Amino acid sequence: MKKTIILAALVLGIPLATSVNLQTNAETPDRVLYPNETVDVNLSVENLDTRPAENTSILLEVGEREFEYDAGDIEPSEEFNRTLELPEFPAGSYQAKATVNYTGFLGKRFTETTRSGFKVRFPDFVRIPRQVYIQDIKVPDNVTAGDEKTVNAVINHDGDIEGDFTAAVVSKDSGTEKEFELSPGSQRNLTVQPTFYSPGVSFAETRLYADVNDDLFLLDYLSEQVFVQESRIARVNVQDLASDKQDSRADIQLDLVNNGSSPAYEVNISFSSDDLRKISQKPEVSLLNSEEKETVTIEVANPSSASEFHPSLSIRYRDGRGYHTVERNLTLSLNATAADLGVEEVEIDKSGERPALSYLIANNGEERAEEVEVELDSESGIAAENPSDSFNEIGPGESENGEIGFSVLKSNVENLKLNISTSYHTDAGTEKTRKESTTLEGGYSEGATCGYNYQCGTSSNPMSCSATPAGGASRCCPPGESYSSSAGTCLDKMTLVAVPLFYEKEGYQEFKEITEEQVKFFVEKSPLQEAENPRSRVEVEYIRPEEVGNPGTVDCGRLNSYVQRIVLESEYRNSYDKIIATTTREFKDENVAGCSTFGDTEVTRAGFPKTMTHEMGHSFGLGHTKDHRIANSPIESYREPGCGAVRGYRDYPNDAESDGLGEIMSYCPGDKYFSDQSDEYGILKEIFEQNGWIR
Amino acid sequence: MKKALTLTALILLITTSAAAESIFSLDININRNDTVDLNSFNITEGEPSAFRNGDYTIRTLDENSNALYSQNFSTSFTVVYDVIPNTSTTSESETRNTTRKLLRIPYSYEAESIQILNSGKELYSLDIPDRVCKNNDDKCPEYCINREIDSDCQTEDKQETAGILSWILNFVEGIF
Repeated sequence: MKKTIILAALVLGIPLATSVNLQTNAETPDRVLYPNETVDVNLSVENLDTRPAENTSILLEVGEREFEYDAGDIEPSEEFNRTLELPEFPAGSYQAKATVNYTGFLGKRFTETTRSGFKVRFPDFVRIPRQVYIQDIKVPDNVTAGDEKTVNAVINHDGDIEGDFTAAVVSKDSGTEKEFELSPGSQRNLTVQPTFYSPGVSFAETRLYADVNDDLFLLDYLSEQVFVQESRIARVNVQDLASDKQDSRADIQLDLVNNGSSPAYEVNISFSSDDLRKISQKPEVSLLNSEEKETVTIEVANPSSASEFHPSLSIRYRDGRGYHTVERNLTLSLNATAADLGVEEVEIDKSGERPALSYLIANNGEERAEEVEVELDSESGIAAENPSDSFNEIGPGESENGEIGFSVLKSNVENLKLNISTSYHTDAGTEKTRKESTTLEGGYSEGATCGYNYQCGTSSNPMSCSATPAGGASRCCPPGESYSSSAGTCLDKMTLVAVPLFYEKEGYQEFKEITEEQVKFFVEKSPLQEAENPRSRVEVEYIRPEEVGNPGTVDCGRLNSYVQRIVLESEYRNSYDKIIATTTREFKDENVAGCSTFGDTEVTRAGFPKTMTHEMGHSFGLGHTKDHRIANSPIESYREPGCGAVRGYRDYPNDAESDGLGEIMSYCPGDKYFSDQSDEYGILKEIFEQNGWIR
Repeated sequence: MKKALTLTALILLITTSAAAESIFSLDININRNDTVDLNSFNITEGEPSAFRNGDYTIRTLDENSNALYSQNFSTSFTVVYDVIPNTSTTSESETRNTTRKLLRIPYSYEAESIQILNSGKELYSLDIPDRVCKNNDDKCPEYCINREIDSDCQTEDKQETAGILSWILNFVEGIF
């Protein structure tokens, strides 16, 4: 029967109003929720038809609450998707009913409904007052937008658990809350004073929460409709409309002014013309406050052969009463025959070894542009080997891509402005110049991902963009440091340059082994022991015996100066932190095991790792641990102050008594530790942290 | 084998990349009488020195004498000789009149001078453009770009103008 009717209708040529094949879904959480959790509902409407669903709106009803959304037009094969975060719900079972309302073929309205459910229950792990509810609420009349009004609520407690509660009154765009206590069997009249902002039909939803362990569990809610009157309106006008013409281009300037008492929201300026092309619009205006004026410039170009145009401007905005539109028409005469060249797309390419500015230059005119030159410059701060690009010719409607590499000279670049000048000749021989600009960002902080050194730090806090040794993106780090992913910070390695003294060429391997033993001892005893994989925090660079020559002395002090000179003349001159030298020969004074300058350099006899570490202590500023006497020691000197060490040549930072148990900075027997008591360990740690070796 | 080689190459590349950055490198002798002698100065690639706080300061200043970078450091004129552990001899020390220091600090294009101070008293000041740019070596280091002091950095137009001016001056001098 149905088929017959449709057939008849077709034969008669009378179109039928038909629905659109929509697949609607409202997906609610598939787990049980608690009353302190918000509820995510995924709404989707997919148009499976060949016709659009127009002016689509979705009404979602859950419990006593309703939520309405405008989905606009849903074209064939398109899908509208939205995840809605609904407020908390009291314990109970709920059905989410989504009703889609849309205009189908021939303007008829249709609805489609889908349902889904979810549950809310009290958690077992907290004791929440039950049977507490809102008996009644009274909402105010005569509300004007911006008014603070009183909402009265009556709360009853019919349960048996005393507790803290919070009452909140939520309107369309604001919320106000009040905390209170309520005993079982009692009633409370509460007044809450929310402010109503959005004009039109609003609501005042009173929510009652139990406050348990700083968590709010929704027990009940009650909603009443409130009508909020508009107090203010926006009046946006185009005060002045002018155009600045340059051959085939023009800047249309419009002064927008809001003479109303309310801000104008969602301001949108649209330019329409059959022939003219909009190049840019600056600035983008979305909000225009009351009594505020904004000048907007729209740059247009004539890509056609026509010369007179009648574009229109439409300014749409919203205030408390809804959307409004102001329209203006204008007439423009623009040259059509000239070449019209402009840089349209500018990007800073950060993938290479240094930044490069890439651009697209397009000819929107009707004639070719000749002898085109694109030049990059800046007020200061950049250098480019070839700051310009040139093209013999760019034809009408054609475009070219180009790239100019450059270096940034200043270390504290923040918003460095780059200018791109384009000059060219038209067929008539006229020389024209256009200028565009773009901005470079800088001043990134430590640990930030980066592409170039100039982006990191400032002049007073210099940093560079260092590769991460473990791979991954480069990061901003203080000079000499690199980012440690495991430590989550920038770190440096302590670089030691090891110098062999009196070693034969064949003794190189032996020298390296002895040095490694010394370094290992130092790492174990020093604050480097606190780092993850401590030995990896020290890098040792070895000078080969044949590079050292004959020092011509065995005096430890002279050898110190000698090895410093060797390193300052080596490839490690600009990367070392400390110089450690090991000698196979006895010193001039055969009882000496090592010496240090309290500076960069120390010299030690091979096979004395404690002495090497002791000298490293000196090189970091430590003196000998303060005098101490060991009574009844079998060695005579240990019964002397300082276990034999002498003080007096400098102020000691580690000024505390030796305990005689083998501090590294004493001469006492044993090789156990940098003393805490005399703060040796703490002093070293501070220096190590200062230099980024540990953090 | 091929994989191992590739990995090694990558590690080397990364290490180099992490360490290579511009620095000011200042090789000086600091004397006990509060004077400083410069051995050499250059802008090079490297790592800033390890520093330990002390009475001395190295700092860079911009053209308005604002400090761009400042770092305290210690200096000692003492060499301490330490004896072999567990012997009965006591230690000795020697005091020198001068000590050599290589100070490596972060490079800054904006830096115009470097100062060495002892307890706030200026011992030495180095004018960077004078040292780096005032030469005729046919090189234009990055530091000297946009600094007119280095003739090697001037564009052809400027050099031509300078040449003409020089010729006019010579001509006028010749007349008088």
